[in-house]
Amino acid sequence: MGERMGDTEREAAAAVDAELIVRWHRGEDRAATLLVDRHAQALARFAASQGEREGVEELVQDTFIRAFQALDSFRADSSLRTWLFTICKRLILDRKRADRRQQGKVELEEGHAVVNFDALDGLVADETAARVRGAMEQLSPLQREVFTLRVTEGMAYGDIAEVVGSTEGACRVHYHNAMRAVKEYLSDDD
Amino acid sequence: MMTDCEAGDIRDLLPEYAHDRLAPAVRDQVAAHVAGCEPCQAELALIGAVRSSLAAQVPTLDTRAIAARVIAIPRRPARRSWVERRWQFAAAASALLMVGVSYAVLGRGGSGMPGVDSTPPRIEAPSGGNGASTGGSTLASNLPAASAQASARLELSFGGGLADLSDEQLTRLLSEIDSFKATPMLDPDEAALLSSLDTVARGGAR
Repeated sequence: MGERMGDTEREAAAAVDAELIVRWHRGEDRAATLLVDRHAQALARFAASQGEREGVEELVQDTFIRAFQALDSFRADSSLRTWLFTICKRLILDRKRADRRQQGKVELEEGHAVVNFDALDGLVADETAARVRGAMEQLSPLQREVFTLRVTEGMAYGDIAEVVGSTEGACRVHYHNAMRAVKEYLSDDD
Repeated sequence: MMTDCEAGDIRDLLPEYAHDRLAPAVRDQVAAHVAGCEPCQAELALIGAVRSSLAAQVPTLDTRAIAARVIAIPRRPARRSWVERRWQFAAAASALLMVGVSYAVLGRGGSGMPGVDSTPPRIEAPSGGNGASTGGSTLASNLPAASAQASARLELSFGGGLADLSDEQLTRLLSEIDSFKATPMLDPDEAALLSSLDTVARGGAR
């Protein structure tokens, strides 16, 4: 078990990204448009899953700007998408810290805080989505990150570990704990 | 309460299965299991619900506007890949080596020659370096790597190693090397010239 197509698929995606990066360096503007098209929506999903509601587009834009400014430092040993997620995650954390400072709140220790998950406020269209939202609210930020990347993006544990700054094994544990917590919540909610 | 399937290895693959990211043989195996496993069916349905509920609340992005901002970023000159650079370092080192040897040959006749320095530039290998060892594979397949390693080891006595050059200096050097039309010491006419220079030098020494 475990022979995932992920490796081949990832290699093919990495080859396309690498070619587009080379073309961008050569001055082809269209390469930048294609790179944005390939990854923007996934970044938006990730941002939304982390509680970002307003300014998701701005966040995605900032992620790309940071990435393109530092494209020289991108190493092909991780996928471009994983690298973009990592940048996006840092920007989200920066925003959260800035928001907390602005609100004069005491910063809670990362990883243990249960922050309000209000990304779906006012946007939940149906009961299932509302229940899913409730289930995800009770996850820790780290569990939610791992769970979201795995469920909504189908990311491998190794890539998730890079994004969240953890290990593959720890991410596997976080995912299964999150899945159990979500199931329990939904069962209690019945 | 939703129960967990006891086949942990199958359960672990459900997100990839939902995203159709499994190799065909594994995908068929998971599909066969899921068809008869209620807990896995329930977990797959949950994965689908989470995906669609999150996707539904993500705004559609104006990717053209984002791309326009990205395109407006001033581009730094493209840095050559390491593979390209390795070849260029090797070419630069080889050319400099040949120039050095040419000087050495030209200067062999002694100090009596006007305009020719009798002391050739020295090309030194750092101590302990083993220029012949390239790791055991065939020379043909290893040629670029071997040249690159050799060039990395060389230290030219007139101005430091190639690694000390800035990108700009390296570019200038490479363009100068590109402008070389031939290698003088290999030209038959040059050989004749050298021979006559030797004769003159010997005459001068007497």
